[in-house]
Amino acid sequence: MDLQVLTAESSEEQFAALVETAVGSQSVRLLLDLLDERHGVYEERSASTVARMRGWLLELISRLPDGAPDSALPYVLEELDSGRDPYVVAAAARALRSRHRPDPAFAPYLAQAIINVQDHDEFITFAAFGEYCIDESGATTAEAEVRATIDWLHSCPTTTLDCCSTQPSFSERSFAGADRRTLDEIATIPLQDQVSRWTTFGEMFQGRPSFLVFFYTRCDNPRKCSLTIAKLRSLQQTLLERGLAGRVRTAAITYDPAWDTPDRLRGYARNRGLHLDEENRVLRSSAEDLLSIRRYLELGVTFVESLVNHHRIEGFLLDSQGRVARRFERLMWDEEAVADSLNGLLGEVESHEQLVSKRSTAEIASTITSAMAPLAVLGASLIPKCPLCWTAYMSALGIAGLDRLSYPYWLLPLLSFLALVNLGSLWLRGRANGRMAAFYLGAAAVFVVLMPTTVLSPAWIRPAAVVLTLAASLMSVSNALDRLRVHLQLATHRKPAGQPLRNSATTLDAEARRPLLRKFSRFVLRY
Amino acid sequence: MTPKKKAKAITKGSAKKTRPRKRAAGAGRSSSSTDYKASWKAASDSSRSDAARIKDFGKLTNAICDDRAVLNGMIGVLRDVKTSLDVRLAALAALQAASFATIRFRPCRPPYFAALRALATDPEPEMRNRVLGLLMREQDSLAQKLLLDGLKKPDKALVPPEKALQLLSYDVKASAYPIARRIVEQPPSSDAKAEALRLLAADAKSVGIFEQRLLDKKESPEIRQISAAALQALAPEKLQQYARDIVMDTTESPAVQATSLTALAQFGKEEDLSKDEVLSKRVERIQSSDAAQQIKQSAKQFATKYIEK
Repeated sequence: MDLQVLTAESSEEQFAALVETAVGSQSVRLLLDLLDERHGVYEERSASTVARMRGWLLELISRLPDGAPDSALPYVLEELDSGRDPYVVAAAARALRSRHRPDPAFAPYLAQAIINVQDHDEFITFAAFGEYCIDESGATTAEAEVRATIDWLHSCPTTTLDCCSTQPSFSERSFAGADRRTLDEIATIPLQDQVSRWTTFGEMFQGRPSFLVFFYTRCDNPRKCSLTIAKLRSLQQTLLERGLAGRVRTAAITYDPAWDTPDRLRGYARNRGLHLDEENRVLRSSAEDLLSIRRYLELGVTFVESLVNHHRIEGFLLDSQGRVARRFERLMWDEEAVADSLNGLLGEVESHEQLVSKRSTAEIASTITSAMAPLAVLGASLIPKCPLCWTAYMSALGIAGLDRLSYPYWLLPLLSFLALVNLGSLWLRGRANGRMAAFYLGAAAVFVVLMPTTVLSPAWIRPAAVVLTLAASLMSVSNALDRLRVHLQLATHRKPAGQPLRNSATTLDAEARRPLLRKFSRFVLRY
Repeated sequence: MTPKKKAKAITKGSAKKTRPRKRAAGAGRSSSSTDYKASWKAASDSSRSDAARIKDFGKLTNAICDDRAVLNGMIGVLRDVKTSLDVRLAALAALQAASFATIRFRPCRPPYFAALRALATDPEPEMRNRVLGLLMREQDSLAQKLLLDGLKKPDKALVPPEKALQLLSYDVKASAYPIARRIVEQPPSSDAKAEALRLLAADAKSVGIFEQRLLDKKESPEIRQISAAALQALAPEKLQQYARDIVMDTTESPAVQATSLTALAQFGKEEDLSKDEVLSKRVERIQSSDAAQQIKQSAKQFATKYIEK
């Protein structure tokens, strides 16, 4: 059986028939899926109809042979804690009582339930879905059901009622850094605040940790939206006392943006003492964008037209990147716990800033290295690195102007010899790296330089030969400098743990250099 | 009291069910035990005249919460269709008055509320009207269902459509907007249309309907005034824009102009309106003209705020 066939278009009779079949076949999972506020079957129904449907669902869960399962407990306790409809509260009390083992932790919820319904209680019947009581026969009341559950709780021999200090684990979920979803989907959604200023979701919630709640001004349950804003105000006070005010943000977004104009938002917030400024705002989006926010944050809210017909209590702790770090749902949060979490998120921000600072330094070094690499290539090509290079310089700069200088008679043969040595070195390097272009270029230059002036008469021909010689030298060293550049870049980055730099330019250069030196030694010895 | 202590106190005291307390009636109150018993005996005597019985019901308001027999007896009279309507309405009024003592009335509420539900289909239209009103103020789902069913199927209607719409407007989440929109388009009566528009005044999706009605000079002034009020709630910036145009239009209805001037005077932006010389001159002309008193008063209000400053 698939309860997904239930949609906004399904009739209440179809709903009743399907859930009763689910109980008959003990399809607990399906019933629990239907308790989720986000189920489509609750869309476009009046708030009172939704209450009747959810009340009947809880009643049927109480009829399961093993009673209400643990997974139904959040919904049951939520209704006892903040529900106002006597029918649903009575059903929740019955569902709680259907459990085999009383737990003293339930006591405060039952106590609150009595307070919630005592001024508008009524006769209730669970004989069939949709039935109303018009007299006392066969009827019960929400208060009677809650008191019966308290009696059941009292029968527990271990009941000590030492119960009220801890927040139940189901009402909150935390997300480690790696599990937090990025804000990309909704970062650009425009939000308007209480004084009509526009911002985006990203601008509002990135840069500092935040506590975000949802509410709407037309909510008629004082235990939900009104209390949410009052608790937000209380959190602001706690943050102030701890010196965290100004370092974190608080915000409330309305579920009812078409009605909740900036004036209404401001009035509602101020009437509950909420402090409002740049860092503490009440906001609204467009109705369309609210759907995106609802989808992204998985808000437990459903609508009839543009009005909320059912919603749960929701609060979100957002980290400095606007990602959900912790969420509170169904039950009100403890301000001290929220302040602790915000403090923890501030710690994350500081660690993140230190990491960013380190990364920035490394990035600057890397940028400088990258920018320097071409200069290094040029510098390395120009700076003489070995005897061969010296011969290249001497051949290029010296021989070209020899005829204009007064020099010893032996200098011309010496420099000519050195030019030929340079040419030999180009040949050797060309052989080693498989690139002979540098050798051919160098040979052409040496030929031009050594030819008698009468053969090559134009004045520019010898300076051109110098340029060719330099070009040949650059070409011959460019391969090694490429490797040098890679090495420099690698050196600025962190070496992966346990991975040796086997491919580093240093290693390759050294390996390439050994046969080259051996060949050069043989070449020198030969001549 | 801490939550822990509160929980303990409530759980320990759970054995004591809250029932109407059998206390000595009248302690600290106006009626003594013998007084209210005598009054009840007289009020429940069907052989007496209606006027005498109605007078006695008025004396029993406090006793209803103190004595379950009086409560049950009063509900019995209320539900008895053979009793005259006036007496039944007096019983209803006494119960309603008792319900204001919220804390004392707590145990009485379930039987009272069940009686109201039973009376929602009472043969007397006056009783149905009153009872459905009381139920809808509590946002009762049965009353909502009955009223919506009546609007969908007029032959089953318990109250006229305008009354049903008026009562449904007590709960904005009653899912009545689609029906109300339909009634605006095809109204069974002008009253029903006006009530449908009043109901839609809380519906953000109906801004277009109100703009259309406000700007349609063929609509009655009442409909246009309702539309202006609704726009003030839903889209105040749009109303400001239309209100100025309406005031400047010399062919407009004075009643609608008066409403528009009031909207400008009460909710307009001072920095814009105080600089609007064309509008100021128009308002001055209205003040000095022989126009209706209503619009002249609105013009004076505007002038005091924006012109004479």
